[in-house]
Amino acid sequence: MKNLRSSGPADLIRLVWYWERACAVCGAEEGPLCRNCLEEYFCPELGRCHGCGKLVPAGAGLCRDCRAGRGPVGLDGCRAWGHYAGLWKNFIWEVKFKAEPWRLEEIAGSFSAWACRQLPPADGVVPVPLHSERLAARGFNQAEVIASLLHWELGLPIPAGALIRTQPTASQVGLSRQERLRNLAQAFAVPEAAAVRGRDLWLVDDVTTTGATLQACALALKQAGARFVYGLCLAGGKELVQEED
Amino acid sequence: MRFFLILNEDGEIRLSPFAEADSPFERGLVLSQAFPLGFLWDVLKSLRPGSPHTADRQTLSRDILQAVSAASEREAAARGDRGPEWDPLVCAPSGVDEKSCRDFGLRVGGRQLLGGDLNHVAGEMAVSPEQVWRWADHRVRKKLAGWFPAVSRQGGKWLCRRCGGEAKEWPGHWGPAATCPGCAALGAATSLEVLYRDYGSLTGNAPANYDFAPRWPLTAAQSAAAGEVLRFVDRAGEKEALVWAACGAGKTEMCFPAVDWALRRRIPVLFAAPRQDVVHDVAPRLRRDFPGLPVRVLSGSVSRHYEPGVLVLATTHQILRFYRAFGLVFLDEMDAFPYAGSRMLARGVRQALQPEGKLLWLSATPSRDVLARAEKGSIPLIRLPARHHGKPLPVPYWERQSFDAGGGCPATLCEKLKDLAQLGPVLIFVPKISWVATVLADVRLRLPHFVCEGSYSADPGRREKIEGLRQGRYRLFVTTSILERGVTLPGVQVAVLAADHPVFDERALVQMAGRAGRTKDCPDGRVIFFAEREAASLKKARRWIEEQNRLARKEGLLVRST
Repeated sequence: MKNLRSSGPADLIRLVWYWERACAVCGAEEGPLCRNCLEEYFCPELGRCHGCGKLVPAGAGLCRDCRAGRGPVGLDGCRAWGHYAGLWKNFIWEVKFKAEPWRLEEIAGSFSAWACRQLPPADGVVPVPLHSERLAARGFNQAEVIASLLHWELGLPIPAGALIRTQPTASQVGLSRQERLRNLAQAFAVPEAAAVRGRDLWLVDDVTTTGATLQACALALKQAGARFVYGLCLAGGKELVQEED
Repeated sequence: MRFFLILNEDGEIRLSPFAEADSPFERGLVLSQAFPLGFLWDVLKSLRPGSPHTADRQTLSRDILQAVSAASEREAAARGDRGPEWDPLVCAPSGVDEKSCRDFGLRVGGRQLLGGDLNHVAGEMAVSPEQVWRWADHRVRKKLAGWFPAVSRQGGKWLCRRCGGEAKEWPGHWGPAATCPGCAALGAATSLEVLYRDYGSLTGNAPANYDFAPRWPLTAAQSAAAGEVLRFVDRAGEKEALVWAACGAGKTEMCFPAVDWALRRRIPVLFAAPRQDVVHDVAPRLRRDFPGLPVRVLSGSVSRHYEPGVLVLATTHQILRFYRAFGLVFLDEMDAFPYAGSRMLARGVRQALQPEGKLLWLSATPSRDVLARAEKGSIPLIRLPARHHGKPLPVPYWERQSFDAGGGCPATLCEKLKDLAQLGPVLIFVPKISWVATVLADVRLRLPHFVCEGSYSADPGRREKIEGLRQGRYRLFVTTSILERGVTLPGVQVAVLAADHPVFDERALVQMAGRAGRTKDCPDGRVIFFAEREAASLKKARRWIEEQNRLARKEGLLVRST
C-alpha cells in the first residue's frame, strides 16, 4: 500500500475489508479460509501423492494409480492443494465459468504459503496454457491468474514463451486417462527453449484429475531442457483407503 | 488475442493481431513480441506528447522500445528475459477476398464483439477463426471498424467498454487486470481481451422488396395511437417518446406501421424486451405481417446470432452487442425485470441507438422516471387506453381479508374463490413462493370439485403446467408474479391474495388485473384484491385503470354495452 499520507478512502476500505473478510470458500466464517473449510477441503492431516498430487493418507507416498504405473510421467513431483469437491469445487467452477478471476486473490496468500512448504524452490512458474480459441471464449486463463498470484506473492518469475498450446483439444471431462493422453499428444510446445533450459519449474493448473494435461506439458518442458518440473494445482482427487498390493 | 505493434516507414503506428505488412509496398518494423491491446495502448499513451507526429522514425522506435520495457519492467526483471526487439515487417501471405469480407461486414455491421464472439461468427460462416480475425483487421485498416481493449482504466476505475459497468481487478500476467462482472453472461470482458467495434450500418441488409400486409386491421384506438407514433418518428428533434397503453390493448401491432415507415427508408429497427418469451412471442407476429422480410431474433436460447438483417428482435441483454446500429428502437415492458433498475441495460439500449435515432418506450405500467418526464412534457406521451374489443378494463375492487404469515386460504376466502370459479378459470396470485403450496393445499381440500394446480419460477414442471393452464385444464391456478405478464387466457378471473404485501407494487397489481377480459369472446372479468387494508398501491392501481377507462370513454373508443 502507498504511505499513509497519500492513501485515500479506497485504501482504507481495502484495509477494513482485509480485516473483516469472510471465508473465500463458504463466505460465512472468518477468512481467508475458515477452520471448517480448511478441515473439510484442504485436509492438513492428509499427505499428497508424489506422482499425481492427489490427497492420500499421510505417509502413503503414492496413490493406487501411481503405484500401478498409471500416474503421470515427466513430473518430478506434484501437489494438489484441496479436495476437488463441494464448495471448493464450486469456487473453482465459478472462477472459471462465471468469469470471477478476482476471487483467486482471496486465497493467494494461503495457497502460496502452502506451495512453498510442499515443493522444492523453483526458478520460475509456468501456467498450463489455453488455446487461443478457448482463451477468447473465456476471456482469461485461470492457470495464468494462479501463476500471476504466485509471481506477485513469491517473486517467482514467469518465463515468457515457456509453453504454448498449439492445438485446440476437446474438453477432457468424461474421458479416460488413455483418451486424455491421446487427446493431448502434441498439443503443447515450447517456442523459446532458452526460457526453460536448465531451470527448475513449477507447472501450475487449477485442477488435476488423471494428471494427463500436466504430463503433456511436463514432457514438452523437459524436451526443451527444463531440469525439474513440479506440478501444482488448486484441487485434485482424494483417495482415503490404500489397498495393499 | 495478443496484438503486434507495427511502425511503418512513414512513422505511422498500427496495432494488429497479425505481424504482417498491409501490402507489398508497406515497409516497416514490428515488435517481436505480441501484447494485450490494452497494454500497448498504455505504452503509446506514455510516449512523449506528440512524439508519434514530431519525432523521426529512429527516435520513435527507440522511445517505443523503452516504453515497452518500462511498462513491463517489473515482469521482465523478474523473468530475466531480453524483452521485445524490432523485426522487419514481412508482407501478408495473400490478399483478402473482398466478397467474403463484405459478407462478414454485413453480419457484424453495427455490432461490438469480443474475441469469443468473433470466433462464433467464424463458426456460423463455416470458416476458420483466423480468417474472421483477418477480415476484422482488414475492416479496421479501412477505418470501417476499430480494435479496443474490452476493459480499460479511466479515472482510477476499470470500466467495461461493452456495457459501461465497473470491472473488478485481479493480478494478471501483465500487471493488474480486470474483468467486468456485469455483462459476463455474454462472455467475459477483460482488460486482456479485445473488443471489435464495427462502424458499418445494418442498412446494407435491407431487402430490396418486401410486403407490409397486416392480417387484422387496427382498431380506432390503435389507428389513432399508430398515427401519433408515425408523426413522432417522422418529426425531427424529439428523440424519445412513451407509449402508455392499457393492458391487452395491442400496442405491439400498433407499432407496425412505424416499423414499415422506417424500413421503407432503410432505417434499421430494433424491437427489444427484457424477457425472452416476449421477444419470441412478437417474432411470429412480425413475420406474419411483413412477409418476405428477414426478422432476426436474438436471445439466450437462439444459436445463430450473426445473420444479416435490418429488423432485429432482441432481449435487452443481447442489445449490448450492438453499437450505434439502430435508427428506431421500440422497448417493450420497460418496467419488467431484468431491465427495470439495471443501469447497464439502460446504457446498452442507448448505446445501440444511432446518435440521431429514436426510442419509443412501450408499457402498460411505465416506470416512474419515464412517466414523470412524459407528464412534465419533456418527452411526448402517446396513449392507447382501450382494448381492441372496445370494452373497458375490468376495475379491481378490494375485499378485506386477513392472512397468516405462512399463507393459507381460509374457508371464507375459499367460498369467494368458488363464486369466482363459477364465472371462469381463476388465477390466484400470491406474494411468496412458499404460499403456493399452502394455498393450493387449502383450495384442494375445501374445493375438491375443481381441478387446481400451482406453479412458481423455480418449479421444474412450470412449462407443462402453464401449457395445461392455456389449454383450460385447470379451474383454479395458484401462482406468483411469474404470470403477471404475457399471458392471455379466455374468460379468466383474477384474485390477488395479500395484495397489500410490499412485493406487489401498483405496477404489478395493474399487470395482474390486466389478465382479465382480454379476449373478444370474454371481454369482461372480475378482479379482486384480497387484503387486510386498502394500501396505497391498491388505490393507485385502481386509479390507473379507471383513468385509462375514463380516457378511452372520453375519446369515444369504448363500445356501448347492449
